[in-house]
Amino acid sequence: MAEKKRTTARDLAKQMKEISFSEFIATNPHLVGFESTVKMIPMSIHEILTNSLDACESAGILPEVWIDLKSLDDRGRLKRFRLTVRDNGPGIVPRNVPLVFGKLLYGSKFGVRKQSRGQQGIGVSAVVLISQIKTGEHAIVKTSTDGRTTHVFELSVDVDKNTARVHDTGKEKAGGWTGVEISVVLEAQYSARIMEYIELTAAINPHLSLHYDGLNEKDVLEIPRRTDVMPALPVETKPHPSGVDYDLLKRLASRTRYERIADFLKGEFDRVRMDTVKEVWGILKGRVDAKKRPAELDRDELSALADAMCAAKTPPPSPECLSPVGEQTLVQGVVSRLQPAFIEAVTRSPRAMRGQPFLVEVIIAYNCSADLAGVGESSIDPVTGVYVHRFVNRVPLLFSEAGDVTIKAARDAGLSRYEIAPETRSHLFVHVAGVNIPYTSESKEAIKYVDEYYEEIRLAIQECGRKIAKHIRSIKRSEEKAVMGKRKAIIHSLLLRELNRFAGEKVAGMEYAAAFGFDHVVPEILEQYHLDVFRAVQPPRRARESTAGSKKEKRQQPAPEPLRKPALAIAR
Amino acid sequence: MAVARLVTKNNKLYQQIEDAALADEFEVIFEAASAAKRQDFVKMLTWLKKDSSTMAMTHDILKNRRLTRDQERSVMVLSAYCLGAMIRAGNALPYTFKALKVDRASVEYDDVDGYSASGDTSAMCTSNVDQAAGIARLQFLVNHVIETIVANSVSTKRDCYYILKNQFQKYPWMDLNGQGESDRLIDTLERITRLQRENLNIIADPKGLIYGDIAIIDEEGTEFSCGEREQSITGLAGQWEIKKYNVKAVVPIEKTGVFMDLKKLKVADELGIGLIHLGGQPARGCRALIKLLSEKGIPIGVLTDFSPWSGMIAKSVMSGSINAAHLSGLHASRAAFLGIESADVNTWLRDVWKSVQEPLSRNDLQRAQNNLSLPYMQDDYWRGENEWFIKHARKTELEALGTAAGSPLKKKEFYKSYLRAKLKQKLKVRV
Repeated sequence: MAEKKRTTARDLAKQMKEISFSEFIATNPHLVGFESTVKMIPMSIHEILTNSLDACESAGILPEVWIDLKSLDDRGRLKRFRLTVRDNGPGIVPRNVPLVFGKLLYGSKFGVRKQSRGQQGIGVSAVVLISQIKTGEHAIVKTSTDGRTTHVFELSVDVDKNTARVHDTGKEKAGGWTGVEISVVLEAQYSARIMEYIELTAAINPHLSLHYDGLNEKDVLEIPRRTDVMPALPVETKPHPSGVDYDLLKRLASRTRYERIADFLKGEFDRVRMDTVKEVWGILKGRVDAKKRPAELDRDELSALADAMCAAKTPPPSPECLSPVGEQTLVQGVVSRLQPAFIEAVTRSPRAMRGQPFLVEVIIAYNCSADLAGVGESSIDPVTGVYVHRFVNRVPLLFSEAGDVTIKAARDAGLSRYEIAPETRSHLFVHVAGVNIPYTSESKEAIKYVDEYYEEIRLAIQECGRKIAKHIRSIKRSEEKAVMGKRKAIIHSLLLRELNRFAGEKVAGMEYAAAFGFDHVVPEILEQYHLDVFRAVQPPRRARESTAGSKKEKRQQPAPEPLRKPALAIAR
Repeated sequence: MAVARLVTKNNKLYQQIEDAALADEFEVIFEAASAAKRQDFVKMLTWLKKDSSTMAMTHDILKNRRLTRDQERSVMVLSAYCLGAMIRAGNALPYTFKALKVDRASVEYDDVDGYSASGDTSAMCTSNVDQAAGIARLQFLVNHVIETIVANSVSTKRDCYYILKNQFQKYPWMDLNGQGESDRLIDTLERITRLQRENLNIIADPKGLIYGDIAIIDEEGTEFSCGEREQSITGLAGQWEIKKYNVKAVVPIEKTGVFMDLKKLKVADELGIGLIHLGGQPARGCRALIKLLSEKGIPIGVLTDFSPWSGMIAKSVMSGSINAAHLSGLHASRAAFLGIESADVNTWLRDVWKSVQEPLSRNDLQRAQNNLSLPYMQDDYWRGENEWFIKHARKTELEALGTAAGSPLKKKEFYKSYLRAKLKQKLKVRV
């Protein structure tokens, strides 16, 4: 047995080194959703598009995005594509371009308590990084902030240092255009989900104009914006007491300008009024010295205070930090694409999950006559029997449906109860708007199963289902009524045809049809079945020709109507 | 809504019908029509009819045809119902056809009259869509049967099914769901007229034969004799007329073999009796003819097997049946039972009983049990017979008589003595 040389701590220490985040992502692309070649293009579009939309909305510009996808060569299953995405946003100051596109974890949205699509500042630089790893091609970024000059950068990521490496710069005439255009080369497999992603993004963002120019003439989408109203800009809010923990409380207490704890609570937290403060004191039962300044609280006191704040009943968090699409806008976004028989939307009021507000919006588009591009029969959820589309903060989620709380809630909502039958082509859209959404991973493909989310989503779907069911029932009723009218008309027409045959004349006039409530269908029945059984107009009196010419026939001259038994006149 | 009436100065019958119609009382219409005199009805139709209408055909039938009283009543009742319907529909009112109810709960039994309907009626109203569909078909059927009578044709239930199907299949919600539905309509016609459908020339398959010195005029007026050879009993036998007869009794027989034997051995001729072949459960024509013979005062003795089912056959001839309770003229209440009975086991069949007996099947036993609760088997005789079946679980058939005779050579004498004894015992008829 060979003696194994022991490694000393010193040797180990030599091997230790800091790795750059770029290197980390380069070796673990699945963490940001780039693990499969099928997902490559949709995820890249997603990362670039969300940045464009966030930028446009912050700048108050109605977004318009051009997406161009071209095949570069053919290598069997895997192809190289050039993806170019161009927006009409405010553009990026040239100095910042290398940081934005070449450095991971560089961003403006991290830790900000308001709804936004992006969070960490990984996405778009990850696209550049992945493109460069797989193909060796550099990204080309063009941007114009003033409409006069376009700055062109050819750049890549320096993986070791997590910085951008600019290979070339240049200038072009902008011709009035502001915004950003980024072009990358991707090695990927083409999939129908590209179209689906674009369609769904457009559906949830009705203020967005989208132009997609794909591989061939058929692979084209033009979706004009359906509203000129920009979504309300979310406002950053204070933390909500129900989600407070020791660390947050300590940081806030140390830098607050308030002298008294009660003022500190009211001033630094969302939705805290005097009654909440009193309740917190009640729960604390003197474990916190009320005379101390917030900064002077010790560890136990802070901990107790955090627990009490979580336990106290507080109103739901302010919705200002959220930007729900709004029922009407949602409906506008969906109707034109799907042409449903009818559509209902539900917006729940905001709830908090550990102090982070969120709200759920649901649309059900019932019995759609049009299809979304890239959404085939196979995308129908087998359990619910409808298409389930998931959105988070106005971004569609396409992958990892298995572990998603929305899918689970939708399946548990029992849509079949509401007669949203599986044979109709119905779409269920679930939009979760929130701050710090609990994604299952950094690739933001699905929301974790969290009780608060599950409950809200399920209730929203059920509420919407009930609204739809009302429509379905009323339609069924009116259908039944129409069928009943037709049925009556046919049966009574046949009855009268036979009676007329016996009588040798048309016995009844249209008032018969009116009395039985089917006069509105008579022309249809006449047309369809040629059942001409009603007298055209009522003759003045049943004056009849004598048939045999005998004397007896002279009895029936026209005469005033003899009502011998008036009581019988209202025999009905 | 104002009600439109015809000016009816003199026609009392029409006034009756119109009044009843305006009150939606079709039972009253039934009574008026079935009590009406034929010439009054003809008079009313002469005044009402339109050219080439079914009503005009009705008029012609009632005016010119040779009809039995039941036939003319059937036609008059149906026409009166149609008149009532015309009056109601002309005033845009719904109407309600009334038909006699015939089920276990609404029939009564009497030893003399047999089964009869208690008079409860069931209603079909045009304000109910399903029932209106039934009335539409019924109305078609009325037109159809009147045309059938005009053409001097006949139809069967199957005919009616086909023609109804052909008529209504092309309309949604009106197709017939099997022959059962058209059979029920014909049944309704019977329950409306309270007379056999044969009166409307809707006939059953002819079944049964008659033999004996009896002269009959058939429904067309042709005379024939049943003395030379047996004659077939058609579905329209109820419309026949017994012209003359020279028989002391008529014996309806369940089995073909015994019927032919009694004829060929000249037993019937020598005893001076008539024979009728039932062939199992008797057809309506057969039952109607027996009734006609019985009405002439001829004693009737039914000769059947010895089993719970044969009791049913005999009793349907003697007392009628529940599903024909609305019809009179289908049973001969004075008829007697001449078939093999429990007492015969130790007398006529004593020597051969061991070999001619058969065990009762489960079905047979069930029948015997059920017979105990039938109203027409409540007298001591039939209770005793059914209890005997349940106790002994044995049965035999008419053919046992031939075996009991010993040899074909002795058959004639055996039959003669058997019938003599039974006719004397049960009907007090000496032959």
